[in-house]
Amino acid sequence: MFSDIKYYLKISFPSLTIFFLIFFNLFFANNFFDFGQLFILHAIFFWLLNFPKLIPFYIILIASLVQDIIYLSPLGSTPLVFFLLIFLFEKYNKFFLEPSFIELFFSFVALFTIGMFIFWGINSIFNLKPLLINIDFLYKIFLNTIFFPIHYFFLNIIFKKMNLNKKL
Amino acid sequence: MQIGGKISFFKLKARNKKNLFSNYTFVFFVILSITLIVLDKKKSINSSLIRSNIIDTIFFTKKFILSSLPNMDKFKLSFKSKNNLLLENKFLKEKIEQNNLYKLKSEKLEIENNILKKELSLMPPSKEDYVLVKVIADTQTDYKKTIIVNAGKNNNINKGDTALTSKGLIGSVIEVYDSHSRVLLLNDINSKIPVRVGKKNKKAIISGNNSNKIDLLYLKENISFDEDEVVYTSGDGGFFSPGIPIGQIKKENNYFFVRPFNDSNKSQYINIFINQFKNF
Repeated sequence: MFSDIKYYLKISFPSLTIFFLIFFNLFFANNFFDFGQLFILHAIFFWLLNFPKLIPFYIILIASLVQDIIYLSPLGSTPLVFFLLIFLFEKYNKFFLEPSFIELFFSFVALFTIGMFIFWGINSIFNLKPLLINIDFLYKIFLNTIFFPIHYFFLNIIFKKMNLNKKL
Repeated sequence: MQIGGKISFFKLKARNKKNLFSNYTFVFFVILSITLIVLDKKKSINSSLIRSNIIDTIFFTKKFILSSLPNMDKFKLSFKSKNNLLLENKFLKEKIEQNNLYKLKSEKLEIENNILKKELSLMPPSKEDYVLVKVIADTQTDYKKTIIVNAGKNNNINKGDTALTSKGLIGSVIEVYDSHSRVLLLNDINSKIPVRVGKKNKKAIISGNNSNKIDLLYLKENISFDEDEVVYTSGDGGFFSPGIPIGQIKKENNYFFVRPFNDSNKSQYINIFINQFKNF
């Protein structure tokens, strides 16, 4: 019984980290530490890299739709951004990513920045005019760039502690 | 996964990695997302009902979790010394006295104001009701400027009601859920409000642009403003009561804009004006 619960907790852990980041950004991050809608890319990036089986597309779809509902974006716009980023990740992964954190870091920053521009593009299309790119846009990239190594470090520790690779 | 290691970022080498997902899955989910966008934009699906249920559930769950946690304030209180409590008591008494004085002054002004309005026959045939609400989630993004407050249909809030603070207008209610509502802030790109400017009552429409500088639209040619002139709602269109302060005129490189009195990032409590005036 307990081993079953433990097993299900383990396999759902990557999805839980994504939802945790959504609610952390909504309830606890104030304006100064507003990471934006692409915040969950920290977890998606990590799990796609380490354990893509445990992060199915429908979880990304549900998590992104929850963000659309919370932030009043048109339903489907955030999932579209994430799927395009995952597509890029898939292509990018084959050429660039090496087992070096520096490379992963630059890859993440590149993907995040592209994601921000895709968001900007989609929202400009919805508003039928190019929207202003203000300092907040750059600040969000900067903030996520700084916090990515911290999140990566913690997720890496948890990943190793849980022995996901061996036991699943 | 190795953290650190040799920097080989610029090495372009294709690795023989297995695909993470099939192309069909990817295409299916992209098409699904685009379909959802189209359906939502065409209003073929009742997205407000989905939003209402999910937002109420999220905040109910948050409230439930927080209420089941031990109350840390009680622990903090037990550590407060008697001297601190006496000082706090003294400070609070002074505050009450001060507030009573302000209350008396405001009551006197309100009576005087009502008499003058009656004399001028300007009294709108409306019942003015305010609901004080708390901002429970700041859902502002780069492209949407909204906040969620903790009152909805349960407090008779309706779509279009005015949201304001003691400083002035902050926005209007755009979505009402069972026990929550969403307020569209002044600086959102979709916010358009008819206003009058300064003592000369120059009319214009203010439009947000997702920054803290609000644009003035539909101005007559060669019109000029003085800096720091106050901008009020004009009441045109019947959505807002007239005379609610919004902000001040500012000038930068011959470009006039409105700087709102309220900083939407800092507002914690706001009043929702259950606006009967729009039925007038």
